[in-house]
Amino acid sequence: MSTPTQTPPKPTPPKVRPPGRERGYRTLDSGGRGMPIGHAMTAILIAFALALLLDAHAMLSTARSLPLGSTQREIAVDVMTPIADVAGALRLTRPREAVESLLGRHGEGAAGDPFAGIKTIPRTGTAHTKAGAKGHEAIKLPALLAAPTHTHPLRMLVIGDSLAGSFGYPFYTVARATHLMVPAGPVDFQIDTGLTRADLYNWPAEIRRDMYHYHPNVLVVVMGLNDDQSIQAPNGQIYSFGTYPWQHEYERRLIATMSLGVRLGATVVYVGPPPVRQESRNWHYQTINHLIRAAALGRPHVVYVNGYQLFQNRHQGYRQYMRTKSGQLVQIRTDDGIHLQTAGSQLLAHRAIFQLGAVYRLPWSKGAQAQERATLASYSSR
Amino acid sequence: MLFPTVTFALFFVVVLPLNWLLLPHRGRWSVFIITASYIFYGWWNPRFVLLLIAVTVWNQVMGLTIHRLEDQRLRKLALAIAVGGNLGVLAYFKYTDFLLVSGENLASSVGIHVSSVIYQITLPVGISFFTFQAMSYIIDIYRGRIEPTSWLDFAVYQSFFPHLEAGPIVRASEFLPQLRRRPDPRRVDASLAFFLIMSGLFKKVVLSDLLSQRIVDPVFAAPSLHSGPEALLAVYAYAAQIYCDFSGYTDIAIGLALLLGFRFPQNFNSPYAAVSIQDFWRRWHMTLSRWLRDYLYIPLGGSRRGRLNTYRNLMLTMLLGGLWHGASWTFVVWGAWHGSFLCLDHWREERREARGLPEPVLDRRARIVRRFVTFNIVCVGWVFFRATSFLNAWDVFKQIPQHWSGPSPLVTSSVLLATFAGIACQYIPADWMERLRTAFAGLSPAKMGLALGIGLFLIDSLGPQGVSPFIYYAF
Repeated sequence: MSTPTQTPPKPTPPKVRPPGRERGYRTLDSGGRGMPIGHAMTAILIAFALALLLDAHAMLSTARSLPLGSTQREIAVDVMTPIADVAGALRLTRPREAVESLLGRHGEGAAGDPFAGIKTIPRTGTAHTKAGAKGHEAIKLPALLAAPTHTHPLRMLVIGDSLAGSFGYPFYTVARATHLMVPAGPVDFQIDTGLTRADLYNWPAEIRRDMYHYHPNVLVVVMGLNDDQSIQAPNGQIYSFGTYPWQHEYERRLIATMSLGVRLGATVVYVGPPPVRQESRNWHYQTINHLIRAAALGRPHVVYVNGYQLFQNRHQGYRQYMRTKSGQLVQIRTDDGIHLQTAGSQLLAHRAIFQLGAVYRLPWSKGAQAQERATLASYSSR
Repeated sequence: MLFPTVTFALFFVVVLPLNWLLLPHRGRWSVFIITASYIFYGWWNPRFVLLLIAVTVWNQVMGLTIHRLEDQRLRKLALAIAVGGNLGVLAYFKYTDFLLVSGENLASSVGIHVSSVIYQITLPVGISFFTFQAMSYIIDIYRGRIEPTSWLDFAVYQSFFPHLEAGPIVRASEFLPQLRRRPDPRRVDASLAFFLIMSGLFKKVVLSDLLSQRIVDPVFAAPSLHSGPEALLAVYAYAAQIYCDFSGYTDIAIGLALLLGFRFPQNFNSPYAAVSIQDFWRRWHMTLSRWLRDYLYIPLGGSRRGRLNTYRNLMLTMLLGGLWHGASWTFVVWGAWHGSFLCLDHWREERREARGLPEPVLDRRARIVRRFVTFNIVCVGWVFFRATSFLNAWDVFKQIPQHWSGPSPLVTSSVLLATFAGIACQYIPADWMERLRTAFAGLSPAKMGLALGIGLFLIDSLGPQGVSPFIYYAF
């Protein structure tokens, strides 16, 4: 009978902490477990393939969101379209649809031309008094707003792209300080959207929803920063930014958007995009401001606010700071060189409120004018 | 390039297999990973790749110089020049406008009107991280803790894309030895990597972005428009947002590095479970805390030269730590806020030691109370961190006691749930997570892939439209 031999206990090695594992600090590891990199790559490929199928429609939308006419977009759409078709046929897109519906999301792009059915508001003194003149239908404009009071203030709603996100709430603060305006609802801002890409985001549909839900008296539209890209006209043609047909099509959409807001009962304040730090894009925003101005000109219940002029430096370019009358420099733009700091938003808000009052000669315009003048006067151009 | 994007996914799918194919050939691998990292970095603004190269060259030249010099005074001088160069780059890009504007405003407030040129300098992403890494390299060479490495290895260390844009701040002594050994492709810690990447994506895309868009940004943009409950929730939501955003980035970075065969240090360890501010800084942005401790606080004298000097050193470290985050006085106040409580912690500890009392053992109740108090102190600090100005911070605080009876449309179930999830996830017992990880690691590659695919799908579906940049990209 053999007895188990007792092996002497091995001396325990002294505990030496490897580099980077001193007290209170460690590198993350899972205790030596590991798998071959081939297996890991297999898992990654399966994960991507499955996510690609389940998310096929969203991925196709992402592919379509690339600049119109670009090779990158064509390749991405060509790759994603059959995948989305297969996923659709296998009903693998159902879970995504279910999640979207559960979260109450809508806001997808328009299938056709969402601006087509909107009857435009003619310019004052041209067609709106003559039925059918110059192709415009005789319309009944909403009555001019009654002078707002403390008990019946104007209901304001800010909508638009990411700039509306940084501008909206400071605007509401300034508006509410007049005691004659109140926010009608939360700022409705949709990142990376605009009017050029109705295929990605259907703003006319969103405006209808907003008007239905919040009934604003004044709709403040802040859009244009993402619009310096090619546009697809209803005839399917793609026009490069800035060309004459591009301008024509963009102006059509601007007029339709303004008209929609007015037709649904609001005064539309359309704020043009400010200059950005990337100077090569600034002529784009000057063009867009010019088109917004042209679209708004003479159109009743539409106010254009020149966001470019207010924020430009003496060379019509970008500036990050402005000087107050007391000599203090304040930062008006965020560090990304695109969006507005609170001080910049407030400045723009004063300008918008001033113009709103001045154009419609509302009783509070004097107060707003004085306030706006005081604010604008407190900033001098650098 | 942002991690949670299709572009990055495609980039990584190409880089990962090439990384492992080239790893046996050190030279080729180094060139490849440097190129890939420069593409990653230059995707946003290619011009700044030149800055990254310049910082790399400068520090390698200075590192070699310090190593070769024997005269201690000359070594010290070379170190000062090297550190000065890094601080100069940081100061130029990050603080020039801030200093000019602050100087002008100070002068104008005492009636002196000067008009300097404001440069409106674009801040390169990750500059605070890669200059700090470079400084740790040259200081460690000066201290004799490491030897200069080859040009290629140093360039890899400086540019390695998983940590390039927002850390963690990996030290040369942690990273360079990993370049010298060849990672084993048969034992890649992929399950942990996947786990970290998925949790990071969830925290960033679902929680952080949702909180930012639905409550934090609206309330901080116009505090007076919102009710007390909204303002209070925004404060807690920001605490959850910044944790989810930054720890989410770090988790993804650590996971990506693991897949490439490298290990990064831990950067977060349930910071909101801290029982004191001192404890908080052992758990929050741990690699920055270590950096500040080893390269600033201890060289200043640490706690060795008496009580007052200790407090001075703590305050100075935290003030500079605050300023490291951004060129604004609100960050300085945030640093001072934390510095004050660190001093208080030290004072209490000293008093206890002077009385000869043992370190108190916290019972469950005391632990809960201290966690609650610490968390709220941290949240007050976050208000200054997030606010655009002192006035903005004050407006947020001022709004909290107001309008509790009116409507609070921003206080929604999704916001409450996301805030709760962002904070409560730090109280999940570590062994629960470990068990989950172990179970996940036991899956076959196919099942793992399916689980990951469903996870990716859910994250993409639940997250709001568009991915905003990580908060720490701005630092």
